[in-house]
Amino acid sequence: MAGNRSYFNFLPRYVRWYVRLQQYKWYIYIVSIAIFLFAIVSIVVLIEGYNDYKAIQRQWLAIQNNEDNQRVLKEYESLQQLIHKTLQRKSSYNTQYIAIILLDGAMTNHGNVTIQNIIFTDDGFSMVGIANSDESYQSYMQYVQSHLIKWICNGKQDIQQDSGYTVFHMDGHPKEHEHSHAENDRS
Amino acid sequence: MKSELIIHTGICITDKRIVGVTAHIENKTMIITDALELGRQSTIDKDIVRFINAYDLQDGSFSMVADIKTETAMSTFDPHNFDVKEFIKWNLEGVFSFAENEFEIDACKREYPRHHYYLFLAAADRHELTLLRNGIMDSCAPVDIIDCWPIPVTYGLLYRSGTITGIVESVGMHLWVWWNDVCIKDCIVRVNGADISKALIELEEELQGFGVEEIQGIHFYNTDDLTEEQKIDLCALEEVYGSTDYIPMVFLGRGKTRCHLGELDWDMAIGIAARGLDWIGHGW
Repeated sequence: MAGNRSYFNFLPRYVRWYVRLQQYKWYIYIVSIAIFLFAIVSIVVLIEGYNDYKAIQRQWLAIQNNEDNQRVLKEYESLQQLIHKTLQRKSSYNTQYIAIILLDGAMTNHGNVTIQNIIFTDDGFSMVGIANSDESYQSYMQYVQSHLIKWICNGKQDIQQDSGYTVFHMDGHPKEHEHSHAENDRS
Repeated sequence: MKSELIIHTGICITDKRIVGVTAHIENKTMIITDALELGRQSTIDKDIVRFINAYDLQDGSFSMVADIKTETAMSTFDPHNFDVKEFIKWNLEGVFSFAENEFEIDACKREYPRHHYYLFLAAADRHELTLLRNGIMDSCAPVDIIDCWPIPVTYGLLYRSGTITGIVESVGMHLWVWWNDVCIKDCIVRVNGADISKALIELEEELQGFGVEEIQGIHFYNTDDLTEEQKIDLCALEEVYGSTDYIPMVFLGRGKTRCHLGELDWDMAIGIAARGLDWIGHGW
């Protein structure tokens, strides 16, 4: 029944709160002082931190404007680009594998094919070699093409009329489809 | 495990003195452990500060009732979308005899019978009430309740519905009839057997409207200055209607030597202490 009833009470809330505040005023003072001190310490720490930040910023700007630093940065950037390119190339195709195939092809021809020069580029490779005969050249081309399935190899021979040797030039590059595949895989 | 006792002090302020009793409840009995009375010397605010300083209360909180000019009124209401503040704002013209802005109102609701709602209003003199509040703030006393005069006199009674309180005032005998801890009707009559008897019959009819068939008991206060004839009339009426018992209470320590049951301010102080102890409204 107590909850359903209500009784007169002329004591307003503000009087109750006033008395309560008066009762706990020393606690309130102590807590207020503690909060004030904490705020002061926080502000001092903030100011110190800001000053440190400004000093570091000045130092950073001085380093940025230093000529030696700029030179070193440029060198570093170029080095980074070089490393990046090298890494890209390494990942696009395996030069060691191709070199082995090209050399292995020459060896399987029993000395009929001699390799003079191999150059690896970003797009692929190009080589210059000498074959004893057209058959040796054709056999070598067939060997290389059969082992580098994902590559397109284009050869061009120049037959020496006087000696019968064939100087040939071969360019190889990854097939378009495989190349884009490799790029996609990298990305 | 022994539970901690809740201690409460009830204070009654009249024109002559301030009395206070400290009590707690044990085994459904009100144990009055301390009591103090102090004569009035100044305004309420200053006297309250003096009393609180003199009382040296160690624990618990206070509840107060003061002999401030108070008027009560009753009205029915429809609980659907009912707002007490709006009701008070628009429906109180001419209800109370106070001048405008010279009183403060508090309200409480009752339901009887089921789905019939009554709003009981009490208006108290603003100036006196402000002084009382100033006294509380100056003394920093932990006060929970300021009740309105003279409702707490019934809180010390065992059966509060159907009880009639009569206080001899300068203008005559002021009679209140109580139902569910609110006054459903009050009137002032001349202090003689015939007039009071007639008024009691009217008050009994009012009680019957609230489901109480007959007056349960009657208490008259401030009868010391009456003539012998008037005292005899009042005694006769008390014999006819009987007197309501007090709630079970035990007086200890200073409470035993100072408290006087049957005196208006002591009964008020005990009653308001009982309310502060949440005795009222818990089936007693």
